Amino acid sequence: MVAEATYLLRRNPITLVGLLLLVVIAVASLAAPLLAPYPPLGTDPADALQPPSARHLMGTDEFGEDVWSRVLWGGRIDLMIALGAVAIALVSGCALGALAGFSGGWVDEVVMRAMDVLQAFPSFILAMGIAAALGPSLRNLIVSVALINVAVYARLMRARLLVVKHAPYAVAARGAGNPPWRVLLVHLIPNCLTPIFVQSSLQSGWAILTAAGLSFIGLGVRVPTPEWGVMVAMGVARINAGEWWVSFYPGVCIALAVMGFNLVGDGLQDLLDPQRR
Amino acid sequence: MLRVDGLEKRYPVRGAAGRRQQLHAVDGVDLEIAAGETLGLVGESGSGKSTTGRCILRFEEPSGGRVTLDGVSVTGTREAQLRPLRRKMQMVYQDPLDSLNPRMPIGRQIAEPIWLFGLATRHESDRRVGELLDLVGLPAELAHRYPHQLSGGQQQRVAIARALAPEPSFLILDEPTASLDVSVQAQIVRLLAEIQARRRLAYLLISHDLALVGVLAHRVAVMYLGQIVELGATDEVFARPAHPYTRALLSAAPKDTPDQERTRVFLVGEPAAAIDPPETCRLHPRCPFAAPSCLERPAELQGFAPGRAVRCVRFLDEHLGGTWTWVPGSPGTGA
Amino acid sequence: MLDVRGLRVAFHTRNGVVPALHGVTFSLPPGTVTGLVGESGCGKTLTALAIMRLLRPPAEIQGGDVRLEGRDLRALAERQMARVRGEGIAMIFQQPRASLNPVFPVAAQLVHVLRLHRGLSRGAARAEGEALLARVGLARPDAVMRAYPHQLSGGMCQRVMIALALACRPRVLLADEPTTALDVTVQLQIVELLRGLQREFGLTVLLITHDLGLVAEMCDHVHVMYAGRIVESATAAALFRRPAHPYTRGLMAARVGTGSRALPTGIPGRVPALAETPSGCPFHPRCPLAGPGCAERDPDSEAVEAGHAVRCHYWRSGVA
Repeated sequence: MVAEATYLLRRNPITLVGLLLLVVIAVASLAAPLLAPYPPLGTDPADALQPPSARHLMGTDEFGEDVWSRVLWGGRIDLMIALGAVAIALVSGCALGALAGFSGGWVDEVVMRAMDVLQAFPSFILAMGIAAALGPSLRNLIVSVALINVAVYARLMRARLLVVKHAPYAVAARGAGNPPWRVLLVHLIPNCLTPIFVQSSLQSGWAILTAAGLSFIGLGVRVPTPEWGVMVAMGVARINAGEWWVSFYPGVCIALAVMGFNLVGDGLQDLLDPQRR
Repeated sequence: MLRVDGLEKRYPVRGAAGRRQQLHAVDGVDLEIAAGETLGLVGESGSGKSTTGRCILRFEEPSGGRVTLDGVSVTGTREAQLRPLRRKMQMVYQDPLDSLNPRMPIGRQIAEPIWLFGLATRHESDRRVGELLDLVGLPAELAHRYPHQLSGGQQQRVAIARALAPEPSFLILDEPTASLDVSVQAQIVRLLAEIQARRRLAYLLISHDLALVGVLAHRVAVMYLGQIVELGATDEVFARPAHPYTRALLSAAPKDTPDQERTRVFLVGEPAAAIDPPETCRLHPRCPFAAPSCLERPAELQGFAPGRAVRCVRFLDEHLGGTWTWVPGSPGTGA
Repeated sequence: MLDVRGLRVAFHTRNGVVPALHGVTFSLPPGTVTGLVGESGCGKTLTALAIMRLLRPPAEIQGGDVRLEGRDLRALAERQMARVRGEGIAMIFQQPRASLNPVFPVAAQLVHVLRLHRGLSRGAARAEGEALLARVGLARPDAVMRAYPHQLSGGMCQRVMIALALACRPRVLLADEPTTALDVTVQLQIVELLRGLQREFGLTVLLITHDLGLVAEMCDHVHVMYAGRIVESATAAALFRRPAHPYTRGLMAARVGTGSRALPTGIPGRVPALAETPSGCPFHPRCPLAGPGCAERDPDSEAVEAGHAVRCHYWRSGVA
């Protein structure tokens, strides 16, 4: 697996770029306490709205907080949102999709119509609604981003499962004495995960975008939490005044993170397919 | 040991203009297999031979009929009570790679039936994997490999080992060599024969390959469009086929050497699907020996000699009437 | 008619260049059927694709000569080669349905080919198409013309494929396992059809198959391939009468004779994967005759008798 991964990465440098991006962002965020020259909430009115300089690499915002330090700390929150939301969506979506696909009949109908309802709304509007109803907080932000993605995983899982359910090895597993739940968990689901992992990586990028968007319009985390979406929102009014750096750097971070996740998602597709080696 | 009585499997289909029709995939099949015996079930695609196999194991729900194993009913039993029966009836599938879980080491797949059927603890069953791999002629080190890391022949050996793991008394072999290379096919054929001799297993050998059936099967049942059309001891059926379809199948086998002479029986066209089929002979539209009298009464499987039965109106009439001559390629006076 | 000399093909893989064909040499005498026999992975299909110049990366022709009636096919421009495919050499495949375009009816595909290669008008092409379908034994050509591939059975699809191949009046027909995917009784029909067409049109046929039975049915000459080499060449009659290479003999022993109750004998081991091709004679690890030198030197071709060549150091000790 490791040898194959390195081979694939060598042959597929774009994936490597994505992976490097994600590693840099993750390491920088994790090492924020060491790397950040200032505390993320360290206001200093005297230093407000300083342009980038040696003292403040990315300048300061209207409260005099160091944008570079906040970008570093913000990475933690955004990655947490992305991974948390995707993890919740993945686990609950896969469980629902597996249940629907495996049992079929009315269970399938009920679950999938519920998923239709979730997908009937434009996803961002739905996330807005959920976030507004739950109230703005980090936890609720994660939940609302997760909820709008459940249907994606449920559908993927169900579709894959319907294919592999009739594969000869599934029949063979029954013949080998596996009770139905064990056929599902041990034999079928592991063979459904490839497209789901690919999707997870793509969705992680998308989750960051949604979370940042929600925070931007005030439905996510609140000012002054160091979160990239909020930070963009804080600075957006000042771009016209020439104070571009407040929004620009967190914005670039969002773009890089989303790109990283998408590139890795494409690469995963090659890596996880045992037939395509 | 295994008895199949009037097994039926029908699928609803939509015919022209949305009419509800039924595809008779398996239509009243009776079989009997004794311990240590191989019954060959021969037919072309669409004959219902594989469906018969799956229905016997209840991988598909039969629409009618009865299957019993050692006097215990397999049909009409609830899934939970099926487990002890499933242990005794195992299957080897056509495509070994497809029948193995691609993401599980083969050792674990062979061990599964042992502990799942409660024959040993999970720990013990891992030890038996080595013995089973040895039995099918594979080194024990392969246990940690994944299916795609093995060759086709090795995969089929693994599938056989898995089928033998729960110590079954009856194996269904569904085209066990069809997807293998010629030189490897022979190895698998030998292995299957060896295992049967050693363990007195009963085999149901499902195959389109008459040569394979000729080597392995003691008796043979020929299927056409869901029905058994001929039944008998392999040697006798091969030497003196009664049903035109059997003759066509036998004569279609390629020559062994270029200078061999072979009389050929050609069927017209290809088999249609048995959708709401008539009671009368189903081969009639394709049969080179068909006569108008063939459609006068239902074609029924009828014994005509000890251990032999055929479903051919014309043959039965002429055979009983004494006008039948065993000339290869031409029944009776016709053709 | 078609001459292949020293054809070498290799795959570019992560572990470097892996040779797949090691100098394949044979020729197709005009008006005969030549069999190319071997198990999966021996390079027989690769040979056909290389002749047609249909190889795609990572496979690449590394050397050798392919001449159709003296014309060097490897030197042709792609546009000329496109004409050769069809008019010079036509090909039919194992999976007839997969080789037909599923979104067009048979008529569209057949008429297109007839107009492109034979320059017929639409109406003439249609009439000619129906005539061809009738010639390949389809009972209702007009109905088949209107049908889409999925509405036809496997045997009918193979007949349509054959009609398509014949539409350009090729001189050479490459048939790659033309009956493998079909039912036994239908196989027989297709074999009869191919044999009839071959005689009628004087076609030169290269029949690629794993099935010695099909060779016995159809072929005049045979080349047995193993691990990217031709290990034995002979007339079909000679090959069955006196197989010289231990692999050929192994293949014969692995067959189940019709009506025989004797268990077949397999060849021990497995067909080597490309990257693991043994040194020297590639068959030596599985060979009952292997002796000193087999692992070191790949044997040269030796004549058993006129027109019968074998590549084995020890063939004399095995021939009956």
